[in-house]
Amino acid sequence: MIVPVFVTIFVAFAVSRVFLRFRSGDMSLGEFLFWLGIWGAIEAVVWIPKFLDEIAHQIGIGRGIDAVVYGSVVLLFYLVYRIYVKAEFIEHEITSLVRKSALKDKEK
Amino acid sequence: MVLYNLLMNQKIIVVIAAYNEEALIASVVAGIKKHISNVVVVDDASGDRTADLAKEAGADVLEHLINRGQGAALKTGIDYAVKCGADIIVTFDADGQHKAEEIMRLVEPVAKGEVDVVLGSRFLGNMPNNIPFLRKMVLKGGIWFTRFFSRINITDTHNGFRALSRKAAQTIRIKQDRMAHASEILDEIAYHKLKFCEAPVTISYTNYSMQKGQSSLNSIKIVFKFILGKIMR
Repeated sequence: MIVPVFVTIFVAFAVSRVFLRFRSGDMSLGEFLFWLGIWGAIEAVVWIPKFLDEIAHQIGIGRGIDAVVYGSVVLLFYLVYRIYVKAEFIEHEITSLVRKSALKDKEK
Repeated sequence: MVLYNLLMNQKIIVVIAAYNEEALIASVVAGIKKHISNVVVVDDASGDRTADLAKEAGADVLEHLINRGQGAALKTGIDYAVKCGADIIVTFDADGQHKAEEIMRLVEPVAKGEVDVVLGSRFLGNMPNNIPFLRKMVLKGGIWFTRFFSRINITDTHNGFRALSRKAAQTIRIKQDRMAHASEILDEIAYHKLKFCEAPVTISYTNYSMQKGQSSLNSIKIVFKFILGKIMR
């Protein structure tokens, strides 16, 4: 019973941060709902472990924990890809700035 | 004489990307200036006196505030050359590997309007006999790689000695900041169906150029960056 309680306290903290960022306008409604869904799903899994097994069964995976591991690997790959694309974009932006500055210095 | 007049009527600008090249940059610029008066050096945030020495040697110097790589520096130089009204742009290495006296021969097909791009090739004409074995294997691998990915058939894929017409310089988009730009330029030539030819050039393999050049193992990273860049195009 201790683990679900601790997880719930942590989730409550995380959701409060998400809500504050949404309220201050740093986060779009879509992002807010995405993170709410993620934390809500974690709560559901912690309090109703059978829930995960049922979902896993529905998609043809034997155990709930296996579904979590598979899903996490896919999600991590996707996030790494997103970060890579973002990093490349920032690199290009930096290069563009450096180039503009070099060309501008020459005009002086 | 006809060719001489033709070349005299064209504004040729030589672009050099340089990073920590204080040992040779002055002599490289001076060597080029015997043949071409317009030399642009893009100092890619060197930690030494590259920029000052290039200026003293008579080059027009642009300075990157932070290091962005050879591809980025070349693009800065090419953009600047186009802005200055260049008809032909020559890219030249800063490490003394190329021979300035070969520039005129290289630009000839572009000046005559026969092609948009002339690519220097070390494997045409007099083959250098001191190409290190591993480097030779990597370069040959690069040829097959380029044939497969860019559908362009050339004999030397990573030669920094090239001549571009103004049209080619404005058409080719160099997005790869670092060494993968060489493959990207070939890819762009094929993609935009630019007319090109190869011309034999001499590459001097000195201890200095080998030290400054890319390690052969770095080619794996270049391939990876190029393929990712192609996917994300």
